[in-house]
Amino acid sequence: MFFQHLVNALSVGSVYALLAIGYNMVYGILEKLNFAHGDVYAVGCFVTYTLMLWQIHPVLAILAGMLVGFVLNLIVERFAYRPVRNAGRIVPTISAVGIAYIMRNFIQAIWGAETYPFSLGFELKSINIGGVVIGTLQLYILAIAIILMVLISMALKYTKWGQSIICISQSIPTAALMGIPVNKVIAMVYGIGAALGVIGGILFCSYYQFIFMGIGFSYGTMKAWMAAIWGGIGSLKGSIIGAMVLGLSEIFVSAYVSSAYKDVFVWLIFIVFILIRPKGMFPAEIAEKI
Amino acid sequence: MKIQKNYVNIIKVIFAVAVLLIPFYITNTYALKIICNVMLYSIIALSVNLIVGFCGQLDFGRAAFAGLGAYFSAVTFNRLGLPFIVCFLGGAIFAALIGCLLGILCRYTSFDYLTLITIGFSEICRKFFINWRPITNGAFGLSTKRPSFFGVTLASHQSMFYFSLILLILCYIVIRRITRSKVGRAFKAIRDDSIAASYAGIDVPNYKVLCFVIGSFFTGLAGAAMVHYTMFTAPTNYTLDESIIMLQMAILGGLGSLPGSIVGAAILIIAPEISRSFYNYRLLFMGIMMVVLMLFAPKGIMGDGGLKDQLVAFVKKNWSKRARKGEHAGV
Amino acid sequence: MSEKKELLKVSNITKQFGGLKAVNDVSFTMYEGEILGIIGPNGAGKTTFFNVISGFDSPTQGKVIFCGTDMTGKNITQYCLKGMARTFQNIRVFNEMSVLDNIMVGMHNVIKTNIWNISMNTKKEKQEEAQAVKNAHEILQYLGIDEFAQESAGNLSYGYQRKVEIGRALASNPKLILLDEPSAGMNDSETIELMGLIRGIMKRGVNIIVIEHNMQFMMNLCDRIAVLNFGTLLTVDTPEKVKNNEEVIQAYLGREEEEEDHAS
Repeated sequence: MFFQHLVNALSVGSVYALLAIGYNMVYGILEKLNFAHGDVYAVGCFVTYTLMLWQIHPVLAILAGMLVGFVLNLIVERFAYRPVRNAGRIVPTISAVGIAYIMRNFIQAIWGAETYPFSLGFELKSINIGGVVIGTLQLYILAIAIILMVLISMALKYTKWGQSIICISQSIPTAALMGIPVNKVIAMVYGIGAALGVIGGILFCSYYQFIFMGIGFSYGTMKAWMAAIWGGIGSLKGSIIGAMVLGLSEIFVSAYVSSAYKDVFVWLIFIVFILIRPKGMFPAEIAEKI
Repeated sequence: MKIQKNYVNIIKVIFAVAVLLIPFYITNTYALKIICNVMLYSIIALSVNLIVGFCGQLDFGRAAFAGLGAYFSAVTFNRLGLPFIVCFLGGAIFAALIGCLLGILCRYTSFDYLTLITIGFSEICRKFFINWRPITNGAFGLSTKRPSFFGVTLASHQSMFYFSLILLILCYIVIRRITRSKVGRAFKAIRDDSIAASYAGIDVPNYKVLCFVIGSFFTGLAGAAMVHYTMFTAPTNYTLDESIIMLQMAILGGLGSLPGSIVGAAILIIAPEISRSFYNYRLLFMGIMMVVLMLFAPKGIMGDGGLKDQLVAFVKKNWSKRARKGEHAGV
Repeated sequence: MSEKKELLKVSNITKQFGGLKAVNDVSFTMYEGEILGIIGPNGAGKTTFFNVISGFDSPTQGKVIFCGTDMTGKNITQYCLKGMARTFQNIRVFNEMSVLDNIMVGMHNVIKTNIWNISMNTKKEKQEEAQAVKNAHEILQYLGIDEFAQESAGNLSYGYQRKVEIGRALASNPKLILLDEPSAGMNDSETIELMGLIRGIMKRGVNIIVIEHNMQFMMNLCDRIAVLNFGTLLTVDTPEKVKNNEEVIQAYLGREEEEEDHAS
């Protein structure tokens, strides 16, 4: 039983990992609380869902959903985040919360508040190893998360865009002085973050086989945020491992401690952890300046 | 100058009398109920303002503290049969104690983590409201009775109006005094620059704790008053959405402006009652309102340089222009 | 010269960030009634040194003794309670508070009140608050910025914000004020005014340590000057002796002269 829980925990973790990578793109680089992350990509997921209902091939539908998420976040960044980028901490955060509500109600207005069954369409197999059942989808999800992590790390390291993103994460004014088109790059980061979020969201939906308007916030933003902090803000490797830890704590608490108080314990473990290690498991070195 | 001041005073007195006499000319219980709600939510908005507007700590968990006050007061009142005032203040003190715990947890954390921890804290509280059935009666909710003082029960809406009004005035006066004192200055200093604040001799971590204690006390007080007014409560009243509505009251009114909090609470309570469609989409409207406010008037309606100030400046400018034009025309 | 009283004693202070020793084995003693200057090329560890002796960073090694008490490892608040105040290289005023409130924040530990007195608005609270306002206005008048008392500090010009910072430091009745590059961004006449201001503060019985780049300013102002270079203390001496110290000229002044030669 223990190993089955372990496998389940790791598969839940890999779903969270996908969400966390997209979240950590924006959070790690711009240090802005992106409250709207989940709700923006949820729109993309619903577009994918609708396209698939229209018998469009899942891959095309996912690409379309990613495009929608990308464009939507570009628009949101332009009109709700960019004007308040330098206005302290509270103002951009509240603006993002506002966007989250707008997106969620937008979904509710178009698709309604019901929960719909969701499936990517291909058959879900599972492998049985000594009584432990491993779903193939879970393996795919983990593989996709790792591939994305590697791709993004490489892109950050070896492309001009990646380097300018890293410059911006160090200091926006300096980056601007070096001739980096700051606004464009930041918009791109938001767009790519949302597109990655759509992939994560769709795999999340296919793992749990449902889709509804709430996937964005409580299952998206919050989990991704927690995973990103577990791992260390701005660390892509950290966000995968953080997501695994989050998955582990959720599954094992509900299996061995209490399922009714699952969230309570997961939160408590999390709060204790960030009080002990505020910089996460793989911290980035940033010194406070006077 | 002096005459103008007299006018202002007269208007103030008329306003005060008008407010005092509300139950005599508004006899519609539905309207009275809304007004009571506005007053009780104003207390919560004031406490949010103290934490977010004055101390700069973004708190997404206020509803949970209202819930703590409400459940504590209702449960002790129902079960132990203690005098109302004891349960009522007990609810506020209980909320303040939990606020102290939260403050101690958060005193050294950064802005982001504080926000996250307050969300987590409110989720934890809500799970307890739902799952601790023997005490809270779970998702079915909890009934309780109206407040009573020395055997007199405040059964009518009129008496509840005066109860809420007195409570609001007391809370307002105390919070106003705090914000204008050494403590309030320390809060504002922490908000503007915590490093400079600590070099001014302010014990920043402890003042953050103090801020959460004071804020939670008032939130709990209002929560307890609400549960005895509506005589019923359920965990759905204490969700994250509720916390954000409370936060939005303070933001809409203007962070850092105490009268603003009352204005904000009034708008956000009354508007959904005016039209049903507004009620259904209140979260959408709230989202739009949040973004628009942050873009054009981050200080809300009554804050420094907020909508009111902008409007006054606009009117003054156009007024003087028109006056000048008039002069030219006259010449 | 009667016996000088020790105010601040720093012994063998080292502050290490990773592999970098930003401050390396610095010791000296500061006496009451003197203006001590700290100079050094960029990156010499001046601000780090300030952070260590004011409690922002605790030293990796060594001791800070302030007013006869070992303050090593104590936090900023405890330093402030002992009578230390400082200003910052990049101005840190409370932008959204009025100038008067900025000064009154400095009086935080001077005002003794509690939450009960505040909520009840007792007579004691009223008197204390009125006294604080009066004192704050006095400080503002002394600095010549009383006319801006109700203005938001963030709206003031750079020079005035400096004064607000100094006023805030003064308001706490400190024994020692640390000034971190107070004349940065000021023109000559403002600098001269600042010098007069600092001397005036000295006369109020406050001791001063100042970090500056402006050599002339330091030579005219300070009683003694400490020279830091790559985290190590080269010398602590009177301006004349520092000027003629070989090591100092090589490390710091010399290089400047070379640059001037290049320029000419």
